[in-house]
Amino acid sequence: MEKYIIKAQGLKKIYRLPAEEIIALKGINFAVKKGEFVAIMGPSGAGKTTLLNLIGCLDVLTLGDLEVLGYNISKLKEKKLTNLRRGNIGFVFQEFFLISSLTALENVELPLYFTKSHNKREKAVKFLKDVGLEHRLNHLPSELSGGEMQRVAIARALVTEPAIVLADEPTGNLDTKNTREIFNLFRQFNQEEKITILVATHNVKLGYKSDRVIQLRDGRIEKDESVN
Amino acid sequence: MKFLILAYKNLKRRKIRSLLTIGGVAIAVAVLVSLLGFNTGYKQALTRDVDKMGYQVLITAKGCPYEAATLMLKGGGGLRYIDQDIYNKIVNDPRIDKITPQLIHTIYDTERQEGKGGFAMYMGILRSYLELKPWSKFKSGGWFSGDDVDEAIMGYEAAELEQRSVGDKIFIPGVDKVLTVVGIFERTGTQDDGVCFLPLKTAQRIFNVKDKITGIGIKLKEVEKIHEFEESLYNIANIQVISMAQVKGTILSLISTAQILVTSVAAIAIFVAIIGVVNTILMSVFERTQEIGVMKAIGASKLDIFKLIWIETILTCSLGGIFGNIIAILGGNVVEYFVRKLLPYVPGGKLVLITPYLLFYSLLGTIILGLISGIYPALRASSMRPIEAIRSGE
Repeated sequence: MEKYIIKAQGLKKIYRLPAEEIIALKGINFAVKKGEFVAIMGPSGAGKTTLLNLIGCLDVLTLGDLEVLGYNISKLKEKKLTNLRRGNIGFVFQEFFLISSLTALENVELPLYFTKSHNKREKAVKFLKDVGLEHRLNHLPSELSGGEMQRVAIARALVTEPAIVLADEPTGNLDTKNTREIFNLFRQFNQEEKITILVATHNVKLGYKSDRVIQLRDGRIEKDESVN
Repeated sequence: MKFLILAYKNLKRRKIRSLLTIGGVAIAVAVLVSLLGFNTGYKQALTRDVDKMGYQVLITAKGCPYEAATLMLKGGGGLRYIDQDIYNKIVNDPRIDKITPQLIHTIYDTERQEGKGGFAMYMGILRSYLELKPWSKFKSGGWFSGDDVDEAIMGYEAAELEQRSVGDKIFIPGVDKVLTVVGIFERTGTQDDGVCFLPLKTAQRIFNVKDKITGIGIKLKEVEKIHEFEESLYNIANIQVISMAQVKGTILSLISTAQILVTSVAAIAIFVAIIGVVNTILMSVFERTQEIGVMKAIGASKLDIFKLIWIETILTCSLGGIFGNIIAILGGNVVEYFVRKLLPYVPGGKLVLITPYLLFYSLLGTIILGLISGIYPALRASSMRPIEAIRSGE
């Protein structure tokens, strides 16, 4: 039972817009083991982002059950969700979403501001070093390249030492070289720190560098296969 | 502390906008602090002036009591005379502690104020004058040698202005008389400093008003009986009794009417400034919707976001408060200059008195305003749903 860090059963998500209802997820069943590196693939609108947002406690599901780290998150209040998210789940976005007024170092430190963590600065420096940016600590996001910004974002996602990292098209805005490097970083942290990683991508080549590919189409799992 | 730094960086991001908002608060605070400072300063200066007259009661010829009192305070011509007999009648009243008659006379001197002309003030007095003003000490020289001698004692400033010392002669324009200076008073900080004192009889003689005086200053044995004493004097014809406490009260109430008006304007200015603050912070919250969403995604709780925006507002208001106080301190002299120009009677000494208390409370006030005005923007920001906030930028 405990070996599954994420467990979804009959997971449905319906967006109710004024004009129509959009069923983003139409009943998803899957489970992820601790330390797995999963690629979630599929065309745009397949429900990749929705799935990640639900797992990341950023959004609330409509129907079904979703267990994250042993908590049934459909039954949790916002405060509990925030607590679960903070320190347990790290996010990496396609658009990086760094805070433009803060330096690389401060951006990485930021999640620690919301925790009771000690040695914030040292931790932030360590993770920036791990992503190979020790020479960019005091640069503002506007002074960094896309690849560098995404590295800062990854350091920011990892600095709280989460159990799960959710990355939504992390390489969507990057060139081939940076894409490969970013993906290798994920792989590295997955292997060294045993962090469970879920990456949404439609880069097939990359997807098959992970342990397991979950193929989504129209809100359903089309294929769920292990990569050897 | 960390939130304070975050808030500060956010304000720095839109420098001009933040500065304008802070400036609005600063100006409003500066006006209010100056006004409140003026309030205390003016009251203190007036009280000091009136108390330093030494009388509780003033008897003058019938007329406007406040005009008479004001003339006595600031000097100037146009005083009417009463008979010295009145003084002789009441001088032995058992209720009186100290009493002194005085004859004020002003002469327009064309050579005053570097040729612009101005009033020179002369006052005929008896020795009892000094008993009512125990703080009047001789800097040099001493009292007149007789009751009706051609001698003068000069106030500190009058002596400075005319460059006279004991033994010098002084010419009185208009009546073409020359007196010998026998004494010079030390500085008292009152109108007396600018007066040239003469023996009462000498004054009556040279100004050609025999047996007349312009006023009688009285200090009672028991202040509580002032009302009863006033009543008993109402029977004497052609005089009026002015209680200095009343005069003080009336001048203050005249000033306070104007003050209420200006204070309400300042209050409105503060209100407007606060609306400006709320508006600015709210705008920056909406601009940063996505950023707030990201912060929530990386672990910020509702409370964290609330604190962050709240601190930003408080920071804006407190900075406004600090700058406002600085402006008020620096601008106090400007206010004083205009007040002196505009008001008919202005007491001596510093008018705008900005005390540490006033600064402390105005700062506390702006912080409280920040606390209040920050609530709504902070609530708006903290209640944003992370996913919608993040998507808002797409």
